[in-house]
Amino acid sequence: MKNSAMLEAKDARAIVRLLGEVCANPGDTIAKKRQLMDGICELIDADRWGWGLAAQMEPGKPSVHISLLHGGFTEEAYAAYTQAYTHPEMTAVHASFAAEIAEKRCHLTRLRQQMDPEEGFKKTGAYAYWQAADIDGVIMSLRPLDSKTFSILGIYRRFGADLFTSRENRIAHILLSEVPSLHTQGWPDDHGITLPDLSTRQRVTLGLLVQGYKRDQIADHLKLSLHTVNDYVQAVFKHFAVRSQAELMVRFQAGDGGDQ
Amino acid sequence: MMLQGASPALCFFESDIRKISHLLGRIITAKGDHTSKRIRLLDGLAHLISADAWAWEFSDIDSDGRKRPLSFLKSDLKKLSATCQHFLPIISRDDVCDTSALEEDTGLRFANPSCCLTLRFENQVPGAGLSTIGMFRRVSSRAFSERDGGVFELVLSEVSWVHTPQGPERSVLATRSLSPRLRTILHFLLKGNSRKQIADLLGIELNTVHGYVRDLYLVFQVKSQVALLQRCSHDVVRSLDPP
Repeated sequence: MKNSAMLEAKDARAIVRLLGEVCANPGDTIAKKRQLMDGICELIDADRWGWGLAAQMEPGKPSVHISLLHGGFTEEAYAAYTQAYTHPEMTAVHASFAAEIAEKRCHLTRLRQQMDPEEGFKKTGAYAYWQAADIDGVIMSLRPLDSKTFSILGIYRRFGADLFTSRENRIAHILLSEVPSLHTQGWPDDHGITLPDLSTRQRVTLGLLVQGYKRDQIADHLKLSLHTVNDYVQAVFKHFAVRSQAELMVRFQAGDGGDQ
Repeated sequence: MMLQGASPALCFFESDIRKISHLLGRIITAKGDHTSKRIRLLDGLAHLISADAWAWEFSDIDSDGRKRPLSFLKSDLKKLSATCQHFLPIISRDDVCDTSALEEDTGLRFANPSCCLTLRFENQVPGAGLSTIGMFRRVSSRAFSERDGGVFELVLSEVSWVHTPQGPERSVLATRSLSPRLRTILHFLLKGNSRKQIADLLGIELNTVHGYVRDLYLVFQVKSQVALLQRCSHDVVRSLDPP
């Protein structure tokens, strides 16, 4: 069954063309990830995407994710997205996917309607934030990096359009699962295994710092005072034993010098 | 675009698309220049369709309409020569294109083309010339199948850079024109070092470092180290690494 699965020529061509274009990208890992994700969005009519690390995705434990790259969001929508994906009630929504990946331990890509067929997320406090982020259709892709951590991706489609189809999910899965090195590069060497030790707000602050946000932008994003943000930033710096945002960015984007 | 020995397929096996994607996925993060990427892709493609050898030729067309070969690249044909008497040439007989490079290299004479064991793809690179890629099997092998031709045509028609003589140059930006001192300072800034650390490492005054940093920010049109890190790719970091 699996061996005889066919792809339409136009999909096959689009997949090969996109990966070929990413091969020619002279930029670094981050630039290639961006090009791949923007290309996938174009291919399957998605509007937004986020890529990051999941440091805890175990049944029975709170999900710990951090978004480290994103595309297609306005600042307001990205702020709402942050509130949405870090919402404590989302753990229950992810539970079946977490159980599945804990069992299979391989790269999985799932549609929202597969992960949450009963649409339980609509009854959570997170739903208002998903609406504010204008995210309805979801493709989520998880690839194990080691025994505890995952490369995690979300591909999203606006409200008012149809949900993603299984054909679109398959295209995304092929494109994402056959580029293993893009999942392993561009993170710290420990894949953020210590992220669960930070509070949710500290983690979000970390994600924004790594993406180059300034403190006043982080305060706007989280609707917090600059003073509070400064406390989070200090806690993050202390946690990673760095003294500046630049040092933190280098740690997260290049690994601990492990690629040199 | 011209293809011999294969026609575009209407659909593809998902398993083939996965193999092609995996090959491209490895090239995405492989180090190396355009030529090494081309070799990886053609080696990988040859493997996918069980071809024993491949060759790529790039030529331009002169005013008389004749092809002038400019570049030539091939897989290791020597390892084949021990086991096989002759190859079918990838370039058909009426082409001006020169197979003598292959013959000299392998010491083999090419038999008359019959095309049955040959796949050939031509691609006109706008404003540059003509790229021809051939794949071939030993005469004793089975002919390429329809599936082989489909995979071959798919990759060579969708991956355009395999035909271009030079790849996009790596963006080492303006670093070449920087003074050695500025390159050193940039190297440390991109590693996340603070100005104080740089001053200590180089044994120079902090004020001197301030001056260098200001110059660099001007060159890169940024106002902070964070912005500099966002602007510069890791290729720049590597290009600055001291030997």
